Amino acid sequence: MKHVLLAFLLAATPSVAFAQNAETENAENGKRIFENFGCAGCHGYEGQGSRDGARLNPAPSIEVMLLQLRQPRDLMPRYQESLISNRDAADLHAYLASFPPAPDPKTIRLLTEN
Amino acid sequence: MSKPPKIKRRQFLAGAAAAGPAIALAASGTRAVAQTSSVPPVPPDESQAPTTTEPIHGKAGSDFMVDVIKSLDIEYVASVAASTFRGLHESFLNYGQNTKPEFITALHEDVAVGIAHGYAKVAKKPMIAMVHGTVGLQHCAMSIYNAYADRVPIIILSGNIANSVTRMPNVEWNHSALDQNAMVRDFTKWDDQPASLQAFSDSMLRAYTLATTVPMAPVLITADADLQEDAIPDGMEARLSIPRLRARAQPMGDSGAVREAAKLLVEAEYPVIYCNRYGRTEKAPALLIELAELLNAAVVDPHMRMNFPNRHKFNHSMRRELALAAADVILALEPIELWGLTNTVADVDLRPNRAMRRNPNLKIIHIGSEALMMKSNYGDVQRFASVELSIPGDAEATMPSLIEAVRAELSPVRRASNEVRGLMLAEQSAGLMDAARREAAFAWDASPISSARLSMELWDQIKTDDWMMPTETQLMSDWPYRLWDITKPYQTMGGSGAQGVGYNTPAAIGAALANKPHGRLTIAIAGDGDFNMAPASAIWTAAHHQIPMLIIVRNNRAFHQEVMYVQNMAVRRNRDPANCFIGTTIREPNIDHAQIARGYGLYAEGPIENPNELGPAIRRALAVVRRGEPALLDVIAQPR
Repeated sequence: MKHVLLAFLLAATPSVAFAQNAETENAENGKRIFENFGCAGCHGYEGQGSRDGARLNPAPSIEVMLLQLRQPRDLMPRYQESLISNRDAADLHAYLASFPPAPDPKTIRLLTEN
Repeated sequence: MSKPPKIKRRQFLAGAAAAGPAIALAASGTRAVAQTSSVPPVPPDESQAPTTTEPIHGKAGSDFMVDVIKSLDIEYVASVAASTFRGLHESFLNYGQNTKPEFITALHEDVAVGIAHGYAKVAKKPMIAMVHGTVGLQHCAMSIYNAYADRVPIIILSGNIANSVTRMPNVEWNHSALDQNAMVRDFTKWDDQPASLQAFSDSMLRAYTLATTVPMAPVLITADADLQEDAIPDGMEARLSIPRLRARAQPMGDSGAVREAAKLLVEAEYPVIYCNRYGRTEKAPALLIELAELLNAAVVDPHMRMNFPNRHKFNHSMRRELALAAADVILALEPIELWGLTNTVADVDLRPNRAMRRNPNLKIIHIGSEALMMKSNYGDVQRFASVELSIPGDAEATMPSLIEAVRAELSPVRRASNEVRGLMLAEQSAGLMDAARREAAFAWDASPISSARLSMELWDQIKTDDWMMPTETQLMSDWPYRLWDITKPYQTMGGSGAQGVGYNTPAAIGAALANKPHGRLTIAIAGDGDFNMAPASAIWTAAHHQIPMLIIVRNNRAFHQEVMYVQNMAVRRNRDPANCFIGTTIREPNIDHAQIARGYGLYAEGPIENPNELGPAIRRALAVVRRGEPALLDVIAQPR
């Protein structure tokens, strides 16, 4: 079902192809959306996730992210294109992809000695 | 020579107030007629008003009230000084010598009751919160509701001037009521407004007994101000008596039903124990460990009490849905939301009811005290759930007989097959800690500081102490339960009960008060919204009484749940979610909690934004706490 929905979404939104062009992605705009739209509230400022929102680090594929925006699972509200366009979604995805990777927990003393 | 007749204090005041400036000119030496009842039939006129009141010889009514309270072995009375109980206040201090109970000074009634709430959860016995008539009781209504929903005993004392004739004009009328108890009657277990000293004695014993009998809850006694302030009439004291507080058993589940429960559990392929408000005493975790190990059953604990060690191999709380979905029998111990074990209401448009993914052959056994006390007005009742076997009674009190019944049902063959299941459960839980460590590494160096980093910076410095954490953790993604080693039966105590915001700091102070004689290190983590909802003056009480505790304000500069709610509403309506911060965030200006704390007399640091500065700040603050004082750290934190 998920794949059917994804196929439908991709087919119905030609701008996705444009959005996937890395050269046009604007991570700064993605940051603005992520923080101003309250995404960090559940997902954390570095996408670490929380009890209320999934971890977004490493970033999911843009297809999965778009599917979650348009047809969300769980409690996340549905973002229509008038709120987050496919272009903005691409920027948002670029921002998610910029999150620093988590360090190996074995290198963190507080996590290994406790 | 006979003693001069006694004038009733409040009767005199009423006369004095009525006489106004003329009082000074009133005929000296004229005395009111002595009253033998507690309530004067008519007001004195000004010609009867003396220039001074006669000192009371012997006992005042409130002295006897203190005798009654002392018979209950109550350690503390938290209170904000107020006129409607000034008689009792003075008696506690001088007649009662300010011991058992000792007066704990609060600056807001909500704090006084919150302290009593936290204290009872650690001390396992109630203390008194004494609150002003009408306005004081109104102030603390939310805290009483929290304690009621949390099934925690508190003895609330209040004052009232029942006799309208003895009220001074203006203020005392505002602070008196026909039935002030009515405003909290929906969320107290029992209340009374005794009209005589003997009735006070009887009512206090009844109140204490009811409050401490499962289901436990706050009780309220309003002590009449005249009754407090007047002398005990000659000859009456010898006739007053204090009923003896006797040992009481807690209600246990029916023995036949318990045997039936044992059969179901022993025959189950995948039993799961769901324990919510189960742990009532420090014996509770050991009993639950015994049952879980006997059955080789997974335990799911939403942390409303100290129920079960978080690192036990059968603790599957962090894989809750997987465990519950696999269960063919769930034993629900004081579950609160029984319907919610198998159903949910999705927080999406139209709020559809959804059955959760569960074993089609699932049977639920419910042991709990919910049915033993229920009131209609507030939603504390929760949605009705039909289960296979419901056993009214206190789950902890029923546990020994359940363990015995399970032991009797277990055949050697069944015991062996259960042990195989136990190996599987241990394997399933073995990876939970490593998974949590991997998750904790994300945003480890972020600023604002992640909840995982905050948790582990703190844990690193308390893990070898005899520590206790009295505060809620769900809004910081339960990191302490995921990463700490919580084993002792007093190390946590759950949350507010009714989710009345402002619970954590006062309750933590009460818990620290109970921890103090044991030398335990109390470490509290309160969200900034919660900290500011309770009067911040709560921490002055900790400073004033030298109650050692570390308070960390986990400061995300918002009522963050509400940020998410407003965002959610906006997006559902296809409107601008960027406005979700209006009315929900606590910025511009940012609150300087450290400065506030210093103003109330605490050692404090903050705001701490750099995660690398957090550990040293915790070390400095703990040094203050370890020498017996409270300290506060303001930590700028990620939203969750």
